Amino acid sequence: MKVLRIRFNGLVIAIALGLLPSITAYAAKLPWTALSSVQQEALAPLAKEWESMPEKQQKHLLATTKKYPQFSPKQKQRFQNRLTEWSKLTPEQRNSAREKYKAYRKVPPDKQEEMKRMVLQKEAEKMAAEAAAADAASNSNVDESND
Amino acid sequence: MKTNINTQKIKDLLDVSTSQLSPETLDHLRMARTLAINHQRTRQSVPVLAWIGGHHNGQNTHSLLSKPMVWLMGAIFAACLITGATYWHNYSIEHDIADVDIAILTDDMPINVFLD
Repeated sequence: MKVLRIRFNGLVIAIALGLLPSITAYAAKLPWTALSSVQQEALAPLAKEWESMPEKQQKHLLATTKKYPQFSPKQKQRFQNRLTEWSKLTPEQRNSAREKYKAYRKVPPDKQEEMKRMVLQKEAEKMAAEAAAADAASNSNVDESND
Repeated sequence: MKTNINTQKIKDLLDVSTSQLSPETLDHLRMARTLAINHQRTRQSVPVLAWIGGHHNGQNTHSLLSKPMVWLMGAIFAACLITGATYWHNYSIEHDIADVDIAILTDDMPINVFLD
């Protein structure tokens, strides 16, 4: 019976020790080379700053790559274009953006479409104005150089 | 000589033998019988998991675990439960965050609309 008790106590201690690595692994930071090829492709714009990112941000970004293979080419492009800007935000800014997005999704679909149209129209106007200003600036430079 | 012995004869013989026993011996036999019956009743009511904590019933003092080990087992079990619940809670929160992040990063709506 004594031998059995010692063995059982050993088993309990072994279980306790066995739990430790899983707890510590949960908090580990991932180096860029440890990422899968899909993750590396999705997060390519962040390759340089990946190692210096906080572990929590790494985890969030990795979670966003889970559906990356199912994205359309347009979504993949958008995703990568927005990644750098998104990763430069503070955690508070990201949380605020998430809350705003959730509020936006609660709006009825027809209203969402209307909002989207308005925003895209404004964006297009802004881009046109910027392009016109750039054209005007380059024309005036050409005129000055001709004079 | 062949003698036929049936159960009735055995009973009669035992009755005769018993009547020849001294009152003191009979008392001892009665006490032993009572003790044996009580012991059997107690063993039947021992809880299923009594062996873990070393249930003492007067005679049975064997146990697989010492008392501190029972507490340790309980603590490990509670820790596992709490860790599991916390992990699941965090997992569901992280999952929700990931879904919203994916939507923000891939939606038609420009990202700056949701930024201050």
